[in-house]
Amino acid sequence: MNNRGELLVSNVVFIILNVVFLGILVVFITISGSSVHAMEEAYAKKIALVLDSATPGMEIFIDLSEAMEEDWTKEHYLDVVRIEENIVSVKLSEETSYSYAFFNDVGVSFDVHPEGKLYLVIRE
Amino acid sequence: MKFLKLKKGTDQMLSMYWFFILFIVSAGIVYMVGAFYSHPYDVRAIEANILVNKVADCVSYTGVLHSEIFEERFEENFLEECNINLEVEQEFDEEQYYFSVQIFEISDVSKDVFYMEQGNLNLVTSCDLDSEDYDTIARCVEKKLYSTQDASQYLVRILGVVDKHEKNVK
Repeated sequence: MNNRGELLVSNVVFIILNVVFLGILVVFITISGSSVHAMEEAYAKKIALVLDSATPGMEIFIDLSEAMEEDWTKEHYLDVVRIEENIVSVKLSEETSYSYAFFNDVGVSFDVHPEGKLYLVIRE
Repeated sequence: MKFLKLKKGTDQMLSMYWFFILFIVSAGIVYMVGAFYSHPYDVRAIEANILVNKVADCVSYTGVLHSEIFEERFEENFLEECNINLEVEQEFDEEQYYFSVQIFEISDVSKDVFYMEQGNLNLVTSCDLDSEDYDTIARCVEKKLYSTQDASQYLVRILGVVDKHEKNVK
């Protein structure tokens, strides 16, 4: 009788350890996919390619809500995207940022809205 | 009783082997995930395509050659006329773009009537290599289109090359 109870406990512990182990693995995979550097690179290149294809007169919205956090202040989200001359810089954390150049020589006005949308206006 | 003791010892040994295998599998998964997400996104082919399309739209719009294409002033100010800026981030020492435009008369495609190139000429050698074997070579895109001007017909050949492998290849 006692031995049967011990076997059950050890099996339960075994299963729980397995579940915890796999759970840690899944969390690691999820965190890796949403890492700050990967998102900075993806958004910088996406914006650069969009600007390369743009023509004067276009107004473009790009959704950045996935990259932005709810507790960000106005200074935070205004610093998320910088477009200076022909270089796009995306900054999602204090320590890191990613820059990518685009070759389309047009004027670009941009604004980042609190709800996470990047608004681009292409001029001559 | 002895049987039960043996069974308990066997279970513990199996658990050890189980966790050892689990550890190896998870180590493999962690390595693969790390290797995947540590590679940058390679957008050079898309960028080269956009560059060639932009040059093509400038040289020939809706099937008609630019009215000043054969003038020297147009060739000298090509980048300004077509709104192209080949400057890149400061971390690059050399130019990372190259494009060339060749125009042939349909009646004689062996000799071009117009040739213009801009950017880093050294990148052209990458076009002869197989890009699948070498990730770090520049990406080339070539397009040909037909265009007209007045009563003449032309073949326009545009080659676009984008390097930037430091930002697109690990």
